[in-house]
Amino acid sequence: MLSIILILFSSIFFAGFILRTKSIASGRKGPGIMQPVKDVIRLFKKGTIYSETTSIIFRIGPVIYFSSVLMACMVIPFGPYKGIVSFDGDFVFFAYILALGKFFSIISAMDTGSSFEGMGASREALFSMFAEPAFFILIGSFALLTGNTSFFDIFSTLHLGSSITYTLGGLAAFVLVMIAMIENSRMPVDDPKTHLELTMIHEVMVLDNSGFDLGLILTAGYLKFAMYGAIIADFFIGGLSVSFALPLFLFIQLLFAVTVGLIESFMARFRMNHNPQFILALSSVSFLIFLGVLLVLEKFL
Amino acid sequence: MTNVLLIIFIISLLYVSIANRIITYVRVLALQGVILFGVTFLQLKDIQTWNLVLILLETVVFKAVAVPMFLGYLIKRNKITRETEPYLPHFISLIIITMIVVITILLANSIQDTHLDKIFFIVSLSTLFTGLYFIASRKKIITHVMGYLMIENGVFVLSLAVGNEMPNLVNLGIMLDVFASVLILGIFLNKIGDVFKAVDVDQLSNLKDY
Amino acid sequence: MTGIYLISAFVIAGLIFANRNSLINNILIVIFGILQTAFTIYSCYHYKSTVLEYFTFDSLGLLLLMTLSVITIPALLHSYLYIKRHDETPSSRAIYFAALIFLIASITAAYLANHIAVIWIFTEMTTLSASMLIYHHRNKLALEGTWKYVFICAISITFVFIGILFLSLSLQHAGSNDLSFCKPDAL
Repeated sequence: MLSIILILFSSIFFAGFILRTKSIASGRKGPGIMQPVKDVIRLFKKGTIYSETTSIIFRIGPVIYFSSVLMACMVIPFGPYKGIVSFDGDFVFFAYILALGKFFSIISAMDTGSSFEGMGASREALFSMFAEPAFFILIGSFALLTGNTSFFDIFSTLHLGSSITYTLGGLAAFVLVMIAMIENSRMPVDDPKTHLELTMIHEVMVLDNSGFDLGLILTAGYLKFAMYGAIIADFFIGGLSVSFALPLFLFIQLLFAVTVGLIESFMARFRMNHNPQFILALSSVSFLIFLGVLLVLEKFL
Repeated sequence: MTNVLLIIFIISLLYVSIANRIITYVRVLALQGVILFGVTFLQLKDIQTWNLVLILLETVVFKAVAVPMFLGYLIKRNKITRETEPYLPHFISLIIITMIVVITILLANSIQDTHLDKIFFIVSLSTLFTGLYFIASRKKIITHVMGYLMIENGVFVLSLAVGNEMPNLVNLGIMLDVFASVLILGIFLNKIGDVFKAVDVDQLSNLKDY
Repeated sequence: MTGIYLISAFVIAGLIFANRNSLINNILIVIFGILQTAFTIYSCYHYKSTVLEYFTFDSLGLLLLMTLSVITIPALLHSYLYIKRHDETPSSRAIYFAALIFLIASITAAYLANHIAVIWIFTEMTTLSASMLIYHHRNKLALEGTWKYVFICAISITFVFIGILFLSLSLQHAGSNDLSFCKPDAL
């Protein structure tokens, strides 16, 4: 229960911190920390306009997307506390509930019949598909390391004793940061600030959404960031008591937000045809983690 | 700590496989030199001044500073373009290098040897094969030299894996030989750059039996 | 004598490299020929003795050294005639003979060395000196050939070193740590 509250709490500030980091890095004062939340609230107050060519799919798409992210958040544990939903193999559930949301956002983009949105949807599907093995190999190797298959058991039994498990944790954090960037269509893969439909990925998919629906999609994006931040924090919290774990959690979330802001400030977007190889490189890195785990367990074949 | 450094070493190989620019290769080579210094330093059982100076000379001064500077000079002098121009797409390079690492691990796993440090062995063999793959798959001559240097790094790690102390004289000789061969390769690269229009392997196909 | 031979061979190579006079050049070549022959005869009389810790006059080394010395004389003579008939400039002639003498001296040292890593070092030196000989004509084809020769040899010599490392690994299993061919006390 605590974990979902913490994730919701940190998601309120997450986008604000990213924006503030970007403004400071580019020498501006920037909007307040709460500005993205205020934008979302403004959107929630507005009505929604639906195109006449769209069907029911387009209407339910954003809602399903948002609820899938929310459900995925429920799986994440926090330190000694389980998530609301916790069972053996819940990381598979986590990955595919997110995939379900993504599927609905893709078909709702296709539903509008706009060629730009179809293109964006195809790219988003491709990149998510490439990011999937990275995530599964990563979590799967940690499941192998600890011998458990639910998020809570994996994180609570993951002892960061020797230097090799610290390395694995660091590598896992790196891979997860990059997966979060891909899933949220952020800088090295996609540029949220771009103004040309041809180069957009995620933004072009939601061109037709407005008002309440757009607010839902934006909120889901912030939640996703906080969710990945929570997973990264869990790698380092392990079995710590709440009085240590809580500040550490908030600190890691803050660090993650600042990292995302810095990456967006100092990196240029990759060329579209370089994206798959970059994402596949993540799979290679998580494969290295897998091999490292095999090394630790001395389970080589 | 050694394991951390060695894993970073392998990641540098993956990074190099998708790098677009030649300057990235040079930087990764310099990074590998620094990593090798860290690894060797941690492997030292007792610190002797002479030994330390030799290692410092071999890794930091030579591998991390002198050779990258020399390569940078070569790139500038011959006006070599920034792109790496591989024969295969980077995507396939990445897959192949991952396969190389996997196969090396399977190979190392089948060897039962108490004298052989497995992680060192894996890193050295995969660096070696990556270097060979680089030589085979890149079009520019300077990337061939970089592949050679990468093989050289792999051999360095292998000599740590085997853990047999060579006499100091031999170490010094190996270092000088590598230095001389890099220098000579560089000099000939300069000549090739002067004589041929582009510094590509495709230019070097005139030699045949008469 | 081995030390004297190596040092004087390298000194002769250096002198030839610095010298531009045709007469002094020829005299130095003759001196090297005599030195090579004298060293071969000397090593025959010191069969199975170890000098300078890393050099042993063993049977195989002696056999190869004698073959090399027999070939050296006609090679020097042929080089002299070749250079003379092709109107080489003094500088290219100097480089040619210096590299030739350097090559022969390194091959000699490689034959006699008793430690496998020392052989490795001298083999690498033969690569470097032979590349100078290949590049003698300094045209496009020579450049191409030299590049290929140097590159392939540099990589192959690295693989030889890997072989040496594996050899030392398997020697550790045999309880030995010594990579030399024959221990002094075994003689």
